Amino acid sequence: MTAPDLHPEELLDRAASGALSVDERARLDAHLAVCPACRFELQARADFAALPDVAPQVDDLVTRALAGLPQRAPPVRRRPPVAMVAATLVLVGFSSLAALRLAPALAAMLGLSRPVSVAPSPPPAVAPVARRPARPPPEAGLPPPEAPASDDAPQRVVGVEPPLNEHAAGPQRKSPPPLSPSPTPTTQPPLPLISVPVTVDEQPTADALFRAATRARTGGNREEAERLYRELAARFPASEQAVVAHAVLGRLLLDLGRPAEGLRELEATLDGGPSALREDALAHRALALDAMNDPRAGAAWGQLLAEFPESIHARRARERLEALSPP
Amino acid sequence: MALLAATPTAQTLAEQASSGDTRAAAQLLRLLAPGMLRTAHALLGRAHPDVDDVAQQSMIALVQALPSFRGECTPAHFANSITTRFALAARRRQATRSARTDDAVEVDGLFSEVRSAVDHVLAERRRAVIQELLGTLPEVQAETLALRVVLGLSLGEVAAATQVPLNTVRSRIRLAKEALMARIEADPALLELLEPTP
Repeated sequence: MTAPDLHPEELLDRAASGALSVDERARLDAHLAVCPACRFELQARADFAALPDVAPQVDDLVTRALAGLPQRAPPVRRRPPVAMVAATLVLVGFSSLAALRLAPALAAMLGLSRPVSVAPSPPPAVAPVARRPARPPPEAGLPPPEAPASDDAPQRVVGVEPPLNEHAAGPQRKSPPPLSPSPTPTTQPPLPLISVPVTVDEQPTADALFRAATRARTGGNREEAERLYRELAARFPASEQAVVAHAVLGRLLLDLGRPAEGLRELEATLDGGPSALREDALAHRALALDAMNDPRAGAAWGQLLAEFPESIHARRARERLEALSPP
Repeated sequence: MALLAATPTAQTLAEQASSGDTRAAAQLLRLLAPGMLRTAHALLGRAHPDVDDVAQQSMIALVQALPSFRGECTPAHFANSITTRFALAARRRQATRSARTDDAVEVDGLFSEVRSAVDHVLAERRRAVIQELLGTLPEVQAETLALRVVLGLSLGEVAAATQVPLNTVRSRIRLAKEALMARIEADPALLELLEPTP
């Protein structure tokens, strides 16, 4: 694969803002035709921009964040040089003068009856925060910088300092983190079961059923989601939505501790599903078999590796294969 | 990107907050928090166990950092760049401890009422590739790529948010794209995720 070294970043910016002239569009198209990286970037930008907003949780988070601000002033009130601020402000938990002034008043303004205690110095990476009660204790916020800053960014205001030599480091071909070891819940506390009004037209389309199922599932009504996904798959078995419904239902059932049922849905996904779903379905099929202590689990992990050796689940697959192999 | 649009209100609030106006600080945080949370979700996936903590810590860091904010970029960019660093750090922590992260195939991301189901699967996979790549790049490259691709900032906006020269931003993006290209070359199936060339 060949691609030019120089990427037309300005044209990509203008394309993202819809400001390309006809001539610029032609130049960009010519580049995109030979540069998968720029095509990937352009499409990924649109993908991330299309993510839905997540406003409902904000108030709670803001309140907890304000409650978690430091309450005590540091012994030295002299403002350090900008570079020092850059290196230490957030990562070393330096409590800025204004923040320290602001914290108690902000907490009072928000009606917090008692201030949240914070760790004394030496500070963690970031001042501890008021946390959800059901969560385990945090690791210390941002980790300390792995190497002292010597990057070309001497005036970074806040943030993680870069490694010594970004060029030398290069892309590290680390294996991605593994998949969930079993269909057990995450460390998140269970979501409250919210009854979501789900309405479907009298003559529902595949798309309408899919949307209704999604609303039910994201609203916490998993029973209704399961019913709607099954209805979708039964009524419109040849639709694209049905293929995805099998995949989602498979994962949902796996999460609900019903791996045998989930396995059936995942196998339905694999029977003719698009390649984009196959990798994920293979991984979860293997997980389901693992959860059932089914002797086919090893073969399932092997199939995943054979078909998708660079899969994001590859490391997990290798670990499972090693664990499952006879001594 | 509408989410990140700078408003005079945010700028004014940031100035007032940096001089100790508590009411302005609270208003500013409420104004910027949705974008910060969205940034955390975009970088970590909605199912990531640390996503709320990252958003929360970022908000604390934002208030702490306000006195050093000089208005080189918009308050929203400033806030989201802070969130980006926290989110990338969380991603690295998770990689280090080999904890659960199947957010790359997160179910929530599969759905939308706008595009077809398969389109959304492809979009989710592309997001997953970028998220995975961010976890393997050197930090400054990851930060730059995240600000640009995940948050949609222009070259100039990235330079302002990270306070580095424009050419440095170009250099980091070039290196990040080399890594992306290597990822694609190692797994040509990723090309199937792309829409046809124009």
